[in-house]
Amino acid sequence: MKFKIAKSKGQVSSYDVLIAVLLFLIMFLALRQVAISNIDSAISDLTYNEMKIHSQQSLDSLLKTKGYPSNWSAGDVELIGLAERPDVLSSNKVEEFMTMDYDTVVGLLALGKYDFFFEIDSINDIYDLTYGVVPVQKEIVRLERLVLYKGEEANVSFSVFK
Amino acid sequence: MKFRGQVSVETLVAVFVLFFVLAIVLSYVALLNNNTQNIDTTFSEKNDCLKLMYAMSQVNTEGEGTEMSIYSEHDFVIHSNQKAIQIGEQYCFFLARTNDYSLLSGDIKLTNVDGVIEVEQI
Repeated sequence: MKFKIAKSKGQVSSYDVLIAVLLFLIMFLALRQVAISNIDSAISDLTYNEMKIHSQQSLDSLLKTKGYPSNWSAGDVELIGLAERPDVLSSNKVEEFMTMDYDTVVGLLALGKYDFFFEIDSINDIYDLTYGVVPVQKEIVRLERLVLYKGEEANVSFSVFK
Repeated sequence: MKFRGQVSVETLVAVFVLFFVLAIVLSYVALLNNNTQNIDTTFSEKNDCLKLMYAMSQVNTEGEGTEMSIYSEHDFVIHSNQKAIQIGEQYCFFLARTNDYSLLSGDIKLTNVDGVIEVEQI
């Protein structure tokens, strides 16, 4: 690289200053980019954590509680619970749940901006059920639990996604 | 250069440009720092809110008589009608029945009494 040689003492080559400023700005922009990407990563972690807590909260409530009132129907339910006792599902409540409006259920499960997909995969295929929005997004939290449904062992999965 | 202490116009311009760039960078750094502090506060409030929310739901799920102690870094308000915990501008929605509360930061005890979650400062 060829620099302009200053003819008199005390002069500053404008190329020197330009290069120094340019290098400084490049380094500054690189550091700024690192800071922004760290913030993005933290936001992504928080979102994932929020989705995980929401899915655990909802699945626990569905599979371990009777709901409120305990003999709830779609018209008067305040808290949705599908269990006769923890991890044993009531077929009446599951059937009632399946008839409910999706947006109402999202509200009752306090999922807010998230969507969900609920699936019962029983040993006996005729008892298999699905409810909710089929997930296609990459950012998804999926939980699975073993329960008893209509006297058969079944795998319940609950997916929450944005 | 014939006289000592003289500075060329080019030097003056260069110094001015350097100070100008420095001023822009410093003001941007100050803005970024302020944003980072806001994000820190938001994250801290949100995490505390989620922790309390899940604790409320857990105490409900585990049934009558369940007790849980939890530490909250922030003051918070529980709105029973909305089933919501409010910390600053953050809201989290739990799955349980409870009453209205306004509590300070510190250790909190949650108790499931007949299916209703009671919250008290300890």
